[in-house]
Amino acid sequence: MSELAHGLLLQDQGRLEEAEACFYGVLAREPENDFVLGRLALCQMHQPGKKKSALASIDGAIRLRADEPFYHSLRSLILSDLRRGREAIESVDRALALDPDDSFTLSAKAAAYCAMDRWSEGEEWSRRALAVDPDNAMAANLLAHTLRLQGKSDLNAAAVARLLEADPEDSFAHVNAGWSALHRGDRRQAETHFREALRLDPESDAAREGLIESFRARSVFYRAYLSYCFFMQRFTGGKQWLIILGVYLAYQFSRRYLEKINPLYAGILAILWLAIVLWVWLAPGVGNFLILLDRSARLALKSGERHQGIAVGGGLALGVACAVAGFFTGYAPVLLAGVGLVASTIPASLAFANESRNGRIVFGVLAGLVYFGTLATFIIEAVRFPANGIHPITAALGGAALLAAIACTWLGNVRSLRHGSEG
Amino acid sequence: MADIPSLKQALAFSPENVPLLLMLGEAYLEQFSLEEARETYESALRVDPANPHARVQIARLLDLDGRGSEAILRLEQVCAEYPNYAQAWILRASFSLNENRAREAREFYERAISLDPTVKNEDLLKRIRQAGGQRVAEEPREPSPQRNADRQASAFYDPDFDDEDFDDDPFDDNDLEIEFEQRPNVDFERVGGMESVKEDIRMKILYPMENRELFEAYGKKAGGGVLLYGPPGCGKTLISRATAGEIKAKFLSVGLHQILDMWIGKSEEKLHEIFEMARRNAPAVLFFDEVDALAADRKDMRSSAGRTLINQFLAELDSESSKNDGVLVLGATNAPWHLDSAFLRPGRFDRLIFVPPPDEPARDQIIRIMAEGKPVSGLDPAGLAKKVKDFSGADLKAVFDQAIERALSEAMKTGKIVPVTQKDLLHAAKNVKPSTRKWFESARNYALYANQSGFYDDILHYLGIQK
Repeated sequence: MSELAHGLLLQDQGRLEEAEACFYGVLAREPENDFVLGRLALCQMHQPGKKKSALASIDGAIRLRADEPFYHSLRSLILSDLRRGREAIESVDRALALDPDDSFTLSAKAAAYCAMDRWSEGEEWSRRALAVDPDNAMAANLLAHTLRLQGKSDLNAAAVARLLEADPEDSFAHVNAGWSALHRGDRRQAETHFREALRLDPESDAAREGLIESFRARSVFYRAYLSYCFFMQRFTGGKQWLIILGVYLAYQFSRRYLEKINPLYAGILAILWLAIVLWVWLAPGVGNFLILLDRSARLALKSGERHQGIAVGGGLALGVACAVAGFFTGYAPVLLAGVGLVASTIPASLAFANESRNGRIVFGVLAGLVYFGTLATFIIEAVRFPANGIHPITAALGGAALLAAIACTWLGNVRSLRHGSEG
Repeated sequence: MADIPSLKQALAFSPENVPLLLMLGEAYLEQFSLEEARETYESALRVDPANPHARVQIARLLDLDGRGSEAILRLEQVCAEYPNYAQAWILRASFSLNENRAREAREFYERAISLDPTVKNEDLLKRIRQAGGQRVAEEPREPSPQRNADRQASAFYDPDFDDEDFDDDPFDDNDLEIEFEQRPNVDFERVGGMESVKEDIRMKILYPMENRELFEAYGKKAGGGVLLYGPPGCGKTLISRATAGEIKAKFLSVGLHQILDMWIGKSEEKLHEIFEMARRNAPAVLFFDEVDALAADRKDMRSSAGRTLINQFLAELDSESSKNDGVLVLGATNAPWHLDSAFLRPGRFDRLIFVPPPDEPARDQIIRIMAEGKPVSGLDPAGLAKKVKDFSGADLKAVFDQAIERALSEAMKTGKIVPVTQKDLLHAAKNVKPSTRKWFESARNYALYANQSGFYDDILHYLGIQK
């Protein structure tokens, strides 16, 4: 018994890698043990970068015992984590055909809808799961999550209160409560909940990320950005694009209209639009930069987030300072360097703390290009100073750097360049 | 060892001198000139065809050459012809162990020791034990209550306590398949570096034991439980053995597999037996490796059976003070955060010692030990130790393994022994990532967010987060 029992204990303790090794040990002796394969899949799905292995393990368990609804539900949850919502629904439907009243399966279906950002269906299925088993913590958490993302604040507050009442020692319930508080704009309450979640489970990434958001939300500008994010989260991907396009068209229409009245108003609107667009890209990096200034809060940041804070927040501050100084002194090299540094913050905001390895490479290369262009421009113009006009090489390099920065605002919307392939 | 040219010179005058030939063979073996060694031993056999030493050494060389079956056959012949030749049995134990026959290896090892105690090889014995080679059942021994009572009566911490009357045979409990290591031959002097840990142990374990009466005057107990925690592979077991060596107590290392049993109630029974055995053999250090699995947080346990084992463990630790007198319970864990908080209350594991990755002197010593018996040339242990910051003992072993593999592949190409150089080791060190980093990532999270009682202050100090 001991290796399997030890593995189960380690899994309960959250020591997943060690538990996985134990399960592999058992499987070496009993390769046809579907129970162990199921436990192995559970272990793997909660480890970063192992979701595909989890899928292979649960497929192995299903091959050995296809009439076990739990395995199909688990497969559905893994697929949801991989953001393969449609397949997740197919899998969970198989489980429901075997056992239509299983609360875990019903909540797996809710999770599958959440993976597709279909919050209302997610809410519906988590309610069904709770109707069968009111103590189903996963369903209760999903319900609170879906309510929050639909903007149903009162219902969300009640759901969160119920969660905490049912188990005040549940780390995930505190994470939910933290997000709920952030949604309300109560960052202090959010920080308290996220800290409590971390006390209960110090390795919870969800709690750590929440805590960082609550730190960033100390800035009023960041809170505005959060409100924008919360608003957009209510909609599925396609609808989000429609909203962005609609706002863009409204901006273009307004700008042209204002140009006819007074070009100054149109200019102000254009600067405002640019600032808002930039802020959407730079807010997390600037937020991290502000956290870096707080001696105790900075400990919550991972190294990628620290680098992002330095490159984006530091780059922006230095860039603006250089641009302003160059503008007022008339020293063009510093002004150009400032503009280059500001431009570099866009690829830099995507190069660090990016889940996708490809994304880190692509945006890292683009950031390097912008830094190189900025440095070369500065050196060439400093050597030429004072000179009339801009040297053709400077123009080419500066143009390329700016183009690279603008390209990032488009590439940043490519999902595979922002999210890890294994979720 | 005499040098090879002078031995050759001597042999020029006396070519049939078997002792000289054997010495030359040893000299060649020492410098890994395996071909020459074999030729020399064969020359010795031409003069004295039955010489057991030359035959054993040829078997050893055949094994090194990858001709294991032939080596075993030759060795079996020596054992059959010279059943009282201890060296042959020791080598046979080693061969059996290599073939994963740990019990047989143990049997051969015991036989060798009984023939000639000087052939004792602690490292081999340890490897046999780790492979599951427990001591072969002997004739049932009469329990000796008087002996144990005498020993218990001898004050655990009495500096005048003379243990000469007790023999040094390892104590066995065949039912439990656990055995005491009689007075471990390791003490703090033999553990390189780790000065801060040693000092911590002195302050928290040794001085209280030495000044027992003083402690009692303040109403404090000197024995009890101490929890060692830190990243894996960083010497928690070694420092525990050295602690036992320091207080001149027997050392009993208990692994999870020795306690867990599939039958309900049996695990608790085994645990009780182990404590009873330690009490009978006091003064003793009872060392629980991976104690987090035995003392897991009860809210992590799915089965009630697991909880009863925890309750039993708590009961054993809480045993009336007189019962546990002379028994120091040491627990080691990589995951102190998974321990049930009940274990950390006074009287249980109420003293905590953080065992960090080996420091530079410790790494230096580990490197020296690892280089022993291997064809390493130009080794600069201090230089290498500097380059492998945060490496655990296991990581250093990985460095050596990689470097040796590289040298071996070269040797296979050239057909000659290629020594492992400092450069190879440094190169390998670059490829091995310290496994302790991952542990510190987790530990850092616990220290930052779940350190309300100051439990993890040592980790914060180590990481430089808290001054």
